Amino acid sequence: MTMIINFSLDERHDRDIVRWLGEQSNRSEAIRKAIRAYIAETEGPTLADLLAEIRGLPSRLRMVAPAPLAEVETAGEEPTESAVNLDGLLSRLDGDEWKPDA
Amino acid sequence: MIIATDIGYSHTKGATDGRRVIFPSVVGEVQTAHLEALGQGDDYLQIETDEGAWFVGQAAVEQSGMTTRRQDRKWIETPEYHALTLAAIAEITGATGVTVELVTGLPVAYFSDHANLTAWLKQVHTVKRAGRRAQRIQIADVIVLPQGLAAVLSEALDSQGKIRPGPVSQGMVGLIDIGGHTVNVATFKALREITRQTASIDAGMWGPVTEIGKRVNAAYPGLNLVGHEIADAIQAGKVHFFGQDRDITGICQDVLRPFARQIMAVATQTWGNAARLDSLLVAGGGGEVVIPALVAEYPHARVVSDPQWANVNGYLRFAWRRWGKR
Repeated sequence: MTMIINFSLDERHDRDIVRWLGEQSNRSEAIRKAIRAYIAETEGPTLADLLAEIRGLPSRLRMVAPAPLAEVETAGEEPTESAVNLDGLLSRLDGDEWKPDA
Repeated sequence: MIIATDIGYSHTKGATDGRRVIFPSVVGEVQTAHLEALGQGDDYLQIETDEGAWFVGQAAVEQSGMTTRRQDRKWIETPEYHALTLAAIAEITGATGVTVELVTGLPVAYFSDHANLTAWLKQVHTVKRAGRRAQRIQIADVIVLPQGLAAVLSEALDSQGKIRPGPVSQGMVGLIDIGGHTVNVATFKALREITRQTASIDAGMWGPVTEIGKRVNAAYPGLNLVGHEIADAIQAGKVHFFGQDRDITGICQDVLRPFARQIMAVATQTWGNAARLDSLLVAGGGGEVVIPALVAEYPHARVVSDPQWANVNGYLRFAWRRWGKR
């Protein structure tokens, strides 16, 4: 079901939005994208979250282990037989028991 | 984001690209009001899930009168197991809204339960950490791997999930995976398991750890070491008693020697002298304590690299191969 929501703009104060909307070929789609981007951004940590994080930092430093060491990527082709076996793993795991082929 | 969790009998581990967290696998119940009161500025890990409010890890050890450490097969269906999983995720990310692709594992002996675990994981979870806003954690995709295999993958795959050519990825590999309640022996050829060379015994590190704990607590009255503290003492080979270090290696050896013999028996039954194996890897929490006995019999036996994190490393690398590194 389509919902139609109206909102108002001030021609002077909101002229940046008015101009941006004027550049959009599909305004509804552009507004949907902009709102989703805003939601994604604002769902990140708030200032209160950051302060709580800083307060808990001493214990977190004790608890957080060193990050894995960076590794160099393996050069060259993968061994074919091993790659086939590994990429078939999930289908072999599927089911009630792990019953790989003998 | 891709997150790996490993809920071990001693410690819970979580990792994503570039970040790892670890805490004791101990959960204690707490009243919600207590949670909020302690939450402001408190260092401890306290969370509230749909199933209750919990102290987790060291906080449970220190704050909660009632702590839970059951490790039997049904453990994965309990609110405590769920709390450890969600606490690990909440430690990895503080985002209030996050979509997670999760990779984790189960012991081979319990692997048939993976569908139940996946069904619980794959939903939207609400987690509230004390002092933080509630988090909405959507677990969109799940991979559950056998734990021992993950240890092999930790060595066979690189940090992009690509196969590293070598004896572990291409050769015949024997694996002894020492879990909490079971020891699994498995054989892989070019990363494919050979079923006829697979065995499992109902004896894991939990038995020896409990026995060592009893003997140490009897020898040093008042210490009252619990689960992960005993595991730590075994690793250190000593306890701190009235301000002095006391050696416990004798107690450990008395208990671990028969356990190592059990493992040797099943390994010999499976591989004979293991001469056909290109590599013999030992994984799991007990690997480092039984390796001396194994090396005496099998000179090419070695503990898997980065043993405490081997499962997590294997999970992550397999997930990166499957889903891409992101």
